[in-house]
Amino acid sequence: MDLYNSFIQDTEAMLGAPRAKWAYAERNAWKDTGESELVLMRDAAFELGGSGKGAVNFTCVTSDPNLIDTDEVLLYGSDLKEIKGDVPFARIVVLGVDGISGEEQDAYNAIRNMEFVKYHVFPEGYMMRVSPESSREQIRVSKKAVKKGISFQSVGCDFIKQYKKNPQIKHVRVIFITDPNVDYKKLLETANKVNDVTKTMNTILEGLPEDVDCAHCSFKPVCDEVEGLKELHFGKDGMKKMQK
Amino acid sequence: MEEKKTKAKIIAVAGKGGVGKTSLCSAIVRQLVETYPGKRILAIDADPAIGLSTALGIKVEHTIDDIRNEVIETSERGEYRQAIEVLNEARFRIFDTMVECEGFAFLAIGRPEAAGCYCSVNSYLKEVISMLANDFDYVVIDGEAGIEQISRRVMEQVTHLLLITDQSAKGVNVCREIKQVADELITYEKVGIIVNRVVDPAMNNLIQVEGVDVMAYIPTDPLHAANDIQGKSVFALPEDANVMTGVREALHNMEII
Repeated sequence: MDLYNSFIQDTEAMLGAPRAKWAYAERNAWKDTGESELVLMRDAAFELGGSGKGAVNFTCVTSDPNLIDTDEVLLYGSDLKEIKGDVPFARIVVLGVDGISGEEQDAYNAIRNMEFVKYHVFPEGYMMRVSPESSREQIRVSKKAVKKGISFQSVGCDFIKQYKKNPQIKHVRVIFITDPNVDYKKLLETANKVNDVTKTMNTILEGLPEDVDCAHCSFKPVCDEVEGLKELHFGKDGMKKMQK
Repeated sequence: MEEKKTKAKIIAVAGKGGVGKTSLCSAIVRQLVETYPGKRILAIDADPAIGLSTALGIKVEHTIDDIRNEVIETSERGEYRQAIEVLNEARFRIFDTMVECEGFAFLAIGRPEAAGCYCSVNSYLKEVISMLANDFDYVVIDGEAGIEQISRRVMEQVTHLLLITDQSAKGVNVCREIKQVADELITYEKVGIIVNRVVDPAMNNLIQVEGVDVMAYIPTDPLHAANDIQGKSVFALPEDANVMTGVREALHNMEII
């Protein structure tokens, strides 16, 4: 599963070295309430990605061990205990898998199920609002949680703990970004492209005709940019025929 | 086993148009805010006539109908979404639509642009109530005039049904109809009537709806009328105004405060 590799590489090249990096330890995971929690403005210490600031999230799956071989949390920018007001925010998750076997449709479903784990993570005092439409993610962190010592390390470990319940996921990297100097517009573009790849995969697997003329297909820009999508559509044999 | 969340008290205010539902609804919100300053209170303007926002002194920029339209546009673009994504998108947008004020939050159903039927937005409203009910301690709904929202089970999760009438036979008849439909379709815990704008107390004994006790009689309120004409919100109303006194009595009798 290498469709998302270029996004992982480009994003990490753009971000450079993180300010902090923590290895995963389950004992460090922040308490998970198991259900969504409303944090009203009056109870919130601050918002991440609120007030029209950058707010991005995306998830990339890869089977390339060179891109991920451990469980870790990375931070670019200020940690939760240092933040005083609303700041821009991005959360990127890289999931390492052993290769997804089975039919292509099963592989697609497996990826979607991994992506959907984010909807089942509920760190206490950390109200997450995720928009699948716009790839935006906004967080309200409660005053109580800040007082109790919530940090990106502990929230990241909660994410990893929830992801690792899925046996197909071998490794997880959770990247938190609050640095105002990061190009959030660029990150949002990447998030949209990641979504386009998943949407294109879905369309191909739902039965795009094999004799479709690529030159006139609306997915052409995505297929041209992302290696592996044309192969998914035409199969290896079809690709060989096209190359002849 | 310890229950994770306290069940919200969902109070629906219903009745004939023009009997003062919205005024009383705003007074209920104010009373709850004053009685329970630490509690989470949500006011929902479910009346397409949109009056509760003004009564509470809120400027509404987005409505539930806006969200519904955006969701429809997405599906018309042919973008397939799984249920969990639709749910999260709705939740994301609802919190953008919600106005958070001092002591309470506010949501408006909005006025669908297409003339006529409100079924779709009513059905969406039902889902929204269901989604938010457990996030709040008190939800106060200013319902559309008549029985439509009751018969369409928009108020399915209501715990306290508060019927409003004036001293008119029509007002009382609408309360009877609502009670009848509610008995068939929803499972409320308590029901009561407020007789509003009482002109002649001697006529009060003529106002009777079988199986429903009167929670309060509220005389015509010149203070409220003055407040309203000056464009002031319910929070500017004196504490001893008839509307506030009457609502306090009704909430007390309904065991809400």
